[in-house]
Amino acid sequence: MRNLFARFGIDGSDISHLERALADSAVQPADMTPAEVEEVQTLLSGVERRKHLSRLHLQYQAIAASIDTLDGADACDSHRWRKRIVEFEVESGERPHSP
Amino acid sequence: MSLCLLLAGLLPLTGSLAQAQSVDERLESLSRAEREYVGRHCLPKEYEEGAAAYRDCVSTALDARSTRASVIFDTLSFDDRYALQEVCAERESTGPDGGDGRMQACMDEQISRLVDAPEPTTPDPGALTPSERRDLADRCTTASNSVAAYRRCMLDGASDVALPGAMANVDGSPAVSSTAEVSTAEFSSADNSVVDPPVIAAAELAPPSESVIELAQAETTDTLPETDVSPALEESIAAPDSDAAPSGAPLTNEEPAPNDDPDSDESIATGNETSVASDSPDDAGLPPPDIRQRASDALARLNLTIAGLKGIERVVLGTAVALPLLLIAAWGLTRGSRARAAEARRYEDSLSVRNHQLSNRLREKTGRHTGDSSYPDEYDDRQAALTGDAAALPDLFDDREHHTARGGVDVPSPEPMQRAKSERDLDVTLDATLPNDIAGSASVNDEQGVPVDEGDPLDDVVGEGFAGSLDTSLDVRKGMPSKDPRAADRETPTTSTADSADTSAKPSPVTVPLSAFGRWIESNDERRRLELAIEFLIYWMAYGDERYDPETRSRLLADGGNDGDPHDLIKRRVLEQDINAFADTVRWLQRNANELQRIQILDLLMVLLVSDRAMSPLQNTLLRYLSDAFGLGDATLEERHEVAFGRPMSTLPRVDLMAWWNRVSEDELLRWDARTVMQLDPLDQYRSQLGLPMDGTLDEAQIVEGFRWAARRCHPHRFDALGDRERSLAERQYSKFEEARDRLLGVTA
Repeated sequence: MRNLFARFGIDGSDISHLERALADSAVQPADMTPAEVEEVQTLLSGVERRKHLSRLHLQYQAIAASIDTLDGADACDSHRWRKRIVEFEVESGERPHSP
Repeated sequence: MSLCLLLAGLLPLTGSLAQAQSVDERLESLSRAEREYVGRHCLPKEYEEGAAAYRDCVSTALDARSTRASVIFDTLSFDDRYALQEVCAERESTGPDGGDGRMQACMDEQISRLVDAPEPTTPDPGALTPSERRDLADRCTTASNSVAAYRRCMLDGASDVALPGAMANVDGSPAVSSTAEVSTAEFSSADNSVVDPPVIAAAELAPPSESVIELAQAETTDTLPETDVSPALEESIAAPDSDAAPSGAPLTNEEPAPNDDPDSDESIATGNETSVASDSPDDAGLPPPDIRQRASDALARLNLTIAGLKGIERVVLGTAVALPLLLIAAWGLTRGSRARAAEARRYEDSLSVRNHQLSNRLREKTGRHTGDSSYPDEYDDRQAALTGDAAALPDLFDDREHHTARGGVDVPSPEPMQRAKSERDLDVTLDATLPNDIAGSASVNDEQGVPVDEGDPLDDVVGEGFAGSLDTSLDVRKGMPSKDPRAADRETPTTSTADSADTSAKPSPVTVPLSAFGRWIESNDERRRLELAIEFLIYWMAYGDERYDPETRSRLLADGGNDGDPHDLIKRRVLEQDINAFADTVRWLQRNANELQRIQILDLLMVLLVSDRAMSPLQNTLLRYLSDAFGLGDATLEERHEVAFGRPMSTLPRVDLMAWWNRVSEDELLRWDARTVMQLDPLDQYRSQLGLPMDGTLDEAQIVEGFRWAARRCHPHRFDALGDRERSLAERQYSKFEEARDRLLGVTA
């Protein structure tokens, strides 16, 4: 999954920051086309969508923190989690969404 | 036992049938004329009084014949009987109005006169040769106009041949014995001579004197009482009657009607008359018996027999007739049931194959075990587990009804199947538009924009009440000792697997806690660890969707909560979004919980936090990841979801794609938010709890159906591998569903 907040360099937990970032046309990820940026802006403009996206970000970060559990002998990997969490891996001890 | 009862019930019928058969056999032994007489005499009784009366009538007639009349007739010598028949047949044929009455009257008269006639004792007729006797009989038959005259003629003739001067016994003493003996000897010889009857000149024998006969009749009294006949006598008489014809008798094909009953009853005599006629050579000219007629007679007798049965006999007969039919029907039903069971087994096998195929595909893709779907379904014993209203509503836990009502757990209805296919199509489309992303990951909750989220199972505890309620429910063992959680809380993690950014590498699983929280869990006693880990996951999923009391959140984050309270510690870790604590919890459960416990942990999360048609993207994602981390795989998780909700689980959400969001309605989006639901009318909140439509009128069946599914999810047996605390949480959730049902049904205010 794409970490849209990270791509746009915004803090998903801070709505005001997000709104400002979205309003700033200079903020545009290098690996995204204008159409994609427009799509993301549309997506993040919805409060509910932004809220759920933020919640999912945390979960993906948590998954990234525990991805080694999928290396166990009895574990499964039905959704190729390692590829999904690429953009959500955080440093040890970091709590990106801590208040 | 049943067989014995059946046999006991059949005994009376057997006796009745045996009686009827005996009567029938005795009737069969009669000549046709006798049977017709009995029919004319007794059938009216049958029509008036029933078959039993008919049988009694026939039996009475036969008994009378076999006693009184037969005693008289049967004790006669064969010659006497022959003469009797000859005389009466002659009179009947020559009479002006021949018929039964004349024949009977003749025989009665002749028997009466014969009884009064002197019995011949000497000379011994057996002294005559068979040919001599035959000639004498012929001569006497011709010359005699009565049986008595015939007897005397025979005596005279015998005397003339063997013992000249021998006289008839005029003292009236019975001479039946000697006569019978003679008859026996006679028939013994007649058996050998009947083929070639000798011819004796009639002139050799003189006719008897009428005067002698008349004199003898005048002086003779009735010396032949019925009771004077001894069994030996009867036997000696019966012997020749059974299988021999008199020497020189004009009978051709049958014995001379030994059973023809010269009873005093005129009707019986009529039958005898016919019988005699049938025994005559004229019988050869009768048409062959009509098979149809016989069959009709047999059927009529059968009907009469059945009609004559009494109450219990009819019941037993009906049972005897119905039993084979019932057995056949039972066999048919059993066969049908077996066929259905076999079909169900085949279907289950196909499902198992499907699951295994899915698991194999996943294993091929991931190179790991994807979990087995062989988790035993413990719902069969659901009724005994729940108490209260659950016990009063046992049918609410009928799995099959649920499966049928919701399109089947094992067989997804076309709608969800089509929806799943559509989601996969969307996934492919999305993958094509997303470079450097992952295929097969997009999902929607409703392809047609119809709201699928209709509520939250914890709407009544979200916000103000959520944290407190969940805390209370989780604090069922509040006060249990914990080992200095604050001290553990102050510890800092040393390392984390999240440091690794190389997704192609597969580091070894972490076997030691990496966070303070993980170490704190392991510092508790073994029984407590599982509870704490599960509690953490519950709060993690609940708080992830912001189902917490803001004030409680602020308090916990400010001062850490109550000192020494492990629940506050857990909540604080969750509110701080401690992903390392999450990782350590998952690792601990992966290492220490068995497979069944891991499955039931997923079930518990769904029961407590997921409402029907209201699985949020966070819940979906987290459950899928936990299922993989627990070694269960998507197949098992989706199976558990179908068991719990009766519909397929939505695919993995792709909240980073606008195309995915475009397929989520605003109403659905709104209902994912528990806080919003908490602001609805209480009845709407109950609707959401039971997964019912939020709009329109609900009927009772809908409410009960929604409660069935909700109650089924809460069944304690689904959590029997967990602790009392987890089962208590499920039971509390069940109580909430009960309340929702009762309020919607108007049972309670």
